[in-house]
Parts: sequence; structure tokens; C-alpha cells
Amino acid sequence: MRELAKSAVRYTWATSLFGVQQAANVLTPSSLRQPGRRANAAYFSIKQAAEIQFDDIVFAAYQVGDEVQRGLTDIFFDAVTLHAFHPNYVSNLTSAVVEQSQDTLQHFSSAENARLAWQELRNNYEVFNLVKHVSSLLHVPSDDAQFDLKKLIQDAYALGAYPDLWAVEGLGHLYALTFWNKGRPIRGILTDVSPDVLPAKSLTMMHAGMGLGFAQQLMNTITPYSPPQEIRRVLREFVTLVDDNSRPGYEGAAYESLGLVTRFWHLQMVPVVEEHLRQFAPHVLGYFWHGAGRSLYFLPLYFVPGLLSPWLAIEREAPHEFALLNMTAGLAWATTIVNVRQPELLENFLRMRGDQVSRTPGFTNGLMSTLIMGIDITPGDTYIMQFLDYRPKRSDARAAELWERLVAQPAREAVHRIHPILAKHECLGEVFQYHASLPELAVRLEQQGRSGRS
Amino acid sequence: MREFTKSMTSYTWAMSLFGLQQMVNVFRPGKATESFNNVTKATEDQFGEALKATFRAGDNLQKGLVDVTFGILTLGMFDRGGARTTADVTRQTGEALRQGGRIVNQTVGAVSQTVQSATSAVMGAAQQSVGWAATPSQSGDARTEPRRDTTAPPPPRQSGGQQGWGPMPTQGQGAR
Repeated sequence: MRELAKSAVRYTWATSLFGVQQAANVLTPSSLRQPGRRANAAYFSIKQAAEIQFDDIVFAAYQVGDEVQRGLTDIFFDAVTLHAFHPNYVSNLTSAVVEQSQDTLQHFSSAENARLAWQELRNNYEVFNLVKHVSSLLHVPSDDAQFDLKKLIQDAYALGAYPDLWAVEGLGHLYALTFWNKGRPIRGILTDVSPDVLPAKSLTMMHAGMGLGFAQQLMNTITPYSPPQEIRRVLREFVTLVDDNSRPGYEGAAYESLGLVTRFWHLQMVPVVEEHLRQFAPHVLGYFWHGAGRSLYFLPLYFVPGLLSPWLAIEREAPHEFALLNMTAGLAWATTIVNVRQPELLENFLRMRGDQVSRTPGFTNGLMSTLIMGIDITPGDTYIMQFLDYRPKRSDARAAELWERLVAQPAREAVHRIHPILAKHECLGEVFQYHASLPELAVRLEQQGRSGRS
Repeated sequence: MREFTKSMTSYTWAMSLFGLQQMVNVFRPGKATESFNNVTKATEDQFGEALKATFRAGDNLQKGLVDVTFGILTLGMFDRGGARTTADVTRQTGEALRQGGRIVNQTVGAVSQTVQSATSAVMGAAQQSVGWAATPSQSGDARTEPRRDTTAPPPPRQSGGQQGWGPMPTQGQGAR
């Protein structure tokens, strides 16, 4: 108790002095071109230190409040600078508010829609718990030396179809971190393991989990105000770690996690990371944006279906077409796989957002990719098979047409035709980014394989 | 200005929630103490030299005062350890006063440095605005980037970090 009192008084004293320090930072800018840089950097570091201490609910409240205040601040400054009175600005803002209101109303317009929204919320919560508590679920030992990968993977698969996917991803994350504190370079952690220990079916999500671990550790070491050389060094470190530890053809699964971690926990870093990747690792960009899109589904802001829609946010967030396609694919990926056990949820989604998603190939690509990943990680997954056989129940011709065109037909092709080819050529990492045409990618791989043999 | 406002509001919001979090943590004193220490450390890292010295002086003083207060509350002043506690507080207070003297000197130095740096910043900006001095871009120059030592081990594992919400397994909780 005494130590707690000392810490509390110490914290109060530090916070009081921080006000003085910030006044000095503002009054003596290091550069007049960016006068607030030093003060912003100080705010960011302390905010990040506090953020790390938050529990689930407090973190969710923080993130929701932070995103709201950022939006309101933008509106305020746009109004002050008269930008907000431009006709386009007003119409965009109004249409965003109207669209969101419509979306919310649709979710609660009927008992059936409300029931489906409730089911989706339950799915989200289940996945949240599966990922969050994977270590206690699998009884992962606290001592890294006792980490028995073979047994833990068997335990993850013993959870059955659906939980196994999330458990394997979580396991990949924990496994990668067992190498982090050993004081020596990390190399070959997924390449130097025998198939007996690490079966082929676990590889995609083990790589995704490994990427999560690396990205989580490294992104905590930089801020948007870190020197550019330092940011570049850390990102290069991430790419090198992925390259040194991934099996050929699976790197994409690990790269993608960088986007997820950055968008989820380091929002202000998204444009900074993109700029650096564009210069030294452009091949990672597609995966990065895909991961950023996937993270939107899990953000606290969009966690409760019907309140705010990530599908409306995605068009505001994507800075260009390439990012939009990948983010759409990433969001479709998460939406599909989380709700794969209840295809009627996706059917209802199409009824509400059919117009939007039929305008972009990103949605169908993401859906196909996630089913390829799903059937690879759980061969013969009963939920995926039921999903393929699903037909819309309601007498809604438009929903039936959208389902067949955007979901059913591409899903069957992905699972029955494209997955075996990607698996044969060990190119499953490719599904972690947007491809204009997965069938064409499969054909290309087959042709390359034939010409290679001849 | 817009970024500054966002940063300040974000900080204020985070600190408000941190207070709330610490109220919850009060039933877990170990966790609450660690959280206070982590945020205090991050705050201290932002201080200049003069403020660091001020912070340490005040910190020593408050530690002594907390000890005295707890001593009185737990009747520790009247046991055999009481004399030692009083001596400790006297020593810490004396140290704090000595540091205070040093701080006055450092503060005078800091103020004159501040005036100098403000003047040079204005001069520098005037030069930049007419294209005399190139400011390094946000992305930096690839040619000046230090080469990565691929044989080096990774940085130490971050304790805590993203313990909250998210598509990430919890570390340091449950079985792990």
C-alpha cells in the first residue's frame, strides 16, 4: 500500500511537471516548419504508455473515444478554415451520416435482422475470446523451454473445426515470442521444423501468428515521430525476420499481420509505414493493406453490428484504389470466416450492402481467399462445406442472384479448384493479398509448373 | 495545429481513462503500482535535464513524506524503527533542498538556452522558407540509412503491450 501511495504521488508529480515541459516544447520548437512535433511526440509516447496498461473494456472505450474526437477535431478545423462550407464537403458529410443511419435502421428494422445482428455479435465475441485466451485454452506452459509445439498443435486441432483456426493463429504468435528473448538472431523457426511437428495444414495461420508476434514487438519500438532512419530500420527488421523464418510461398501470411497490428494499435503509423514500405519493400504493400482491412472487422468501434459499419469507413480510410481493393478483400475475409457457420448472416449482409460490394472485385476476392485458407487449415471443414451448399431461403430474387454471383459460385471454385493448385505449388501465402483474379493465378501457376517440368 | 489538438485531446482522454483503470486496479495493488511506474517512466523520459532534476528532488521529498505519513498511521514512529525513519526523511529532505539549489542554477541555464534556441529556430525557419536549408524528409534518405546487422538479436520483448482488446492472444495472463 505504501508503494502504491508513493507511485501515485510520483505519477501526479510527473504529470504536473509534464505540463511545464510541454509549455517549453511549444514555446521553443525545434523547427518552425513543424512547431508542434516535439510536443506531439511527447504526448504520443505517454499516451502509448498509458494505453498499454488498459484492460479490454477501457481500451475499447479509449479507442472509440479517440476515433470520435479525431473526427470531431477534423470537422471543427474544417469549419474554422471554411473548408466545411464547400458544397462537396457538406454533401459528403451528410451522405455519410445518412448512410450510417440507414445501415443502423436496417439492422434493427425487423426482428429477424435484429436476431442476425445478435448472432453476429455472439460470433465476434466468441472469436475474441478464442484468440485472447488461447494460452489458457491450450494450457501453454509459462516456461518457454517447455513449449511443446507438436502437442500444442494437436491440442489446437482437437478443439474442432472453427476454433482450431483461431487457436493455430494464436499458437503461431506465442511460438514466435518464445524465440524473442533468447538473445540470438531468430532464424528458421518455421522452416527448420519437421512436418511431423508442424503439419502442412497448420502453416498458413502459424505464419500469420508468427507475423503478429514480430509486428507486435517491433511496432511498439517506434512512433510516428521517431527518426525516419529508425522507422526504416525497424520495418526492414520485420521484413527480414519474416523472410528468414517463413517457408517459401507462405511469407504473405506473415507480412499481412503488419497491416493488422499497425491499423489496430498504431493508427497514426499507417501512412508512415506505407510510405517506407513503398520505398524499400513494395512487394509487402498489398499484404499490408489487406491486414489493415482485416483489422477493421475487429476494432471496438465496429464490434457491435449495426452501430457503426466498417464497410462505410473503409472508403473513407483507403487513401487510393490499390489500398481500397486490398482493404475490402481483408474486411470480406474477416466477415466471411467469422460468420461462416451461419451463411444467412452473409446473405443478410448482401441484402444490405449488395450494391456496394458488387461494385468492387475486392469483396469476392476476400471471400474466396478466406475459404481457401479455411479449407487448407481444416481439410474437409464441415462448416465450409455447409456454406458451399447454402441457398438463400427467402423469396428474394435479388439476394439469390447476388448470392450466386458474388458468393456461391466463386466459393465453390475457390475450394474445389483453386485451393488444390495453390496447395500443390505451395503458394498459399498469396491469398493474404488482393488478386485481380485468383482463377488466373491458378492457371499461371499450373503453366509455370508445366514449363518448369519440361 | 490540427495534429496538436488531436494529440492533446488524445492524451487527455488516455489519462482520464488511465485514472479510471487505476481505480479498478486498486484491488490489485501490485498491478496498479506497476502501471503508475510505467506511465511515470514514460513521462520522465520526456523531461529536459532541468525538469528531470526537479522531478527527482520532488520525488525524494514525497517518498519521505509518504514514509512519515504511513509511519504515523501505522504507529511506526513510536517503535524502534521510528528514529531511523525520521533520520531518513531528514536526509532525503536535505538532499531535496541541495538538489533544489542545483535546479535553480540549471533553470537559469535552461531559460537562456531556450531564448537562444528560439532565436536560432526563427533564423533557421527564415532560411528554410527561402530554400537555403533542406529539411530531411519524413521518409529519410535511403542512402544514409544504417545497414541492418542481420546477426544481431531482436530487441527485448515488450512486457505488457497490447494487453487490451484485439485479435491478439494475451501474454502474461492465464497460463502464460
